[in-house]
Amino acid sequence: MTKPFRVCTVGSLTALLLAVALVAPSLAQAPATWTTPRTGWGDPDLQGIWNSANTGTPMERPTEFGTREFLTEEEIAARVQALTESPPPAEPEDPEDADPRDAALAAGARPTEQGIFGQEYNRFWVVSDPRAVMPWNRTSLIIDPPDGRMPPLTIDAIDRLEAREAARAHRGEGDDWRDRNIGERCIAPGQIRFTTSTFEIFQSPGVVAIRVDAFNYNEPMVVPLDGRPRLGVRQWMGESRGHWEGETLVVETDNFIPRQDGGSVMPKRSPLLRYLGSGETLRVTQRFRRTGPATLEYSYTVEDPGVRVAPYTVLHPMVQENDLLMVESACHEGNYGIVGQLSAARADEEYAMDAAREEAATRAAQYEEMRRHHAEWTRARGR
Amino acid sequence: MALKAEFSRRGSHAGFVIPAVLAVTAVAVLLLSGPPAAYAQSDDYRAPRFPGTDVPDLSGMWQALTNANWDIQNHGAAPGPFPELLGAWGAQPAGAGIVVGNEIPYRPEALEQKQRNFENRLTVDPQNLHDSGDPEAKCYIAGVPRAMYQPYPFQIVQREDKILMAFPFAASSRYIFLADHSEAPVDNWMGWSNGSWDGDTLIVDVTAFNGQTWFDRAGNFASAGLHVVERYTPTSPYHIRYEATIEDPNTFTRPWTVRFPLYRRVEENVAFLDMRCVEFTERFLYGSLVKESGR
Repeated sequence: MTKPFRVCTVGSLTALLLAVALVAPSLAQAPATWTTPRTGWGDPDLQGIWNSANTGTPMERPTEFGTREFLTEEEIAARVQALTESPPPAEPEDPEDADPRDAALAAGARPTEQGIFGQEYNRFWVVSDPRAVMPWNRTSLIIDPPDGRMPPLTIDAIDRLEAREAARAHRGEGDDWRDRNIGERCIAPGQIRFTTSTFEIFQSPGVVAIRVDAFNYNEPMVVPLDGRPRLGVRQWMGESRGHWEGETLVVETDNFIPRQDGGSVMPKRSPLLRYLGSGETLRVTQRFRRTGPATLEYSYTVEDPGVRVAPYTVLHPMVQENDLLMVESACHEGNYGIVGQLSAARADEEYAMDAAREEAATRAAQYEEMRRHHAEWTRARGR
Repeated sequence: MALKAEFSRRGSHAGFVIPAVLAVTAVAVLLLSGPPAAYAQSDDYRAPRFPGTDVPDLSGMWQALTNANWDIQNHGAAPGPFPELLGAWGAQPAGAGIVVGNEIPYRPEALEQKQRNFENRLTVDPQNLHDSGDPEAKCYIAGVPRAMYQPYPFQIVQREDKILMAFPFAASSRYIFLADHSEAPVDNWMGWSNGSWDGDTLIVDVTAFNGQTWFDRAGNFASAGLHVVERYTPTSPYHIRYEATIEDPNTFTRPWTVRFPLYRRVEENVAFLDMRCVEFTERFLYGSLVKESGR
């Protein structure tokens, strides 16, 4: 009954940290005879687990390409070769940390734990299976604007970042939870909904559910396709409506909760991610279209006039990997990380208070000596 | 599978346990196999098929209409935990229970634990997040079967090989694997669900729990040895008869059953709306750790 599977955890990391060894067929168009299969009720069938293809394409276009969208055949071959030859990530990262006992234990570990045994704390998040390299001819994942680069932040957005830094003044690293970033607080920001690199699609008549693979994101985005009006209720993941344009599923999402970056205080170690806005004016359009039996073209357009001076569109080639197993993520359910951070901040304060008391105590003896000296001096002079 | 093996071993040490459990189960099945009157007329109901298949279509937005999230047993109305702050808001509504026969066959020490759970249901120790307090108050994933009767509509999205259930509370979901049954790679809050069709009834075997979930705000609980077998039977276009057998030899002396209908939400504007509650719990969970001036 039990079949081997691979556990998929944090997609965005897996995409970055994959060991590569194989070259798969290119992402070129499917054979002319191939057509998108249909569900039992006639919708294009997009179902399955889709993972970002391993193309080595950067998000933003390296400046040397200018406005050139596509690589030459030689450049594609060079990129594939570079990806194929890059060594797999060291295991563990520092060989001096290696414990020879781990190898013996790992030999007896169950298949899902192979490769991470003894290094679970960090290696758990890394898929170490070799992944096929997909030749792809784009110079960047950003396909619009034409320079393939992220448009600048608006002045309002930069002002807001600085205001959040100012609000941080006089606060420590863990006065309360607001000083920690929302990742550490196990609050999934809405950007996960569109920037994730792994997702699973379920379809029923009138509805599509897309379950993305990310921290504290267990429930799918449930997308009605029946044209019902929006409720206008703001949610962390926004409010989505979908429709078909030919064989392309189009999902439009707005009404994001405007605390996507953590709120009015700039938290400690806030990663300056691609999405830096509050979510107030964010609108995302996602498009999903199958291009072959095991390939899908996924794109998203981010419009956020309060944050970026212009919209931008990102195109991700995806490959079907139905043997990935999407497991439950329970980040908040036992968030000892935040407990440790706040406790450590209190311990630091306690330590500083103790140190100040000790220092004051050493000076107290000196003050005593000054008084004694003063008394002796006056007594000697009969004053 | 490991759980069953352990149960069998226990039986071999005390030869009467397994026969006794089977006998009690058999009696219970005999007593309970006749459907309640409300369902009687629906036994002949044949649900619409999931398009392209010959199995019933369970897709849609469903919700239990019970007060079992407060207490799965019969219970009267009672003040909420902080009536001086909230008045009648937060008060416990009376409710008929969902436990068939109303009795939960706790082992004596487990019954004491249930009572301690109730007394400490709103107690939080940030250095030990799991050993006291209702997981629901902490915004933790509700688990099975509690997620099935929390007071929120949940969405079933069906596929031939898998069923996805999405729950608003604590942004949670569960998969039911219909093909390729597998053993859980790790323990889960929602357990690990392998399902199969028996006629028009979906039978789901749920194992690999982490032992942290409760059944209700009254402190009813189970250990990581919990094994739930659910039965989903469509009885009309708008009803699913839900029944779950609860087995946990660490906690209970015999298996017992919960049963209630799931109702289809038919409002034109019904929507899957998040109950992402992490932010609502940060002061509750970590308030004792914040800087003095910030408290």
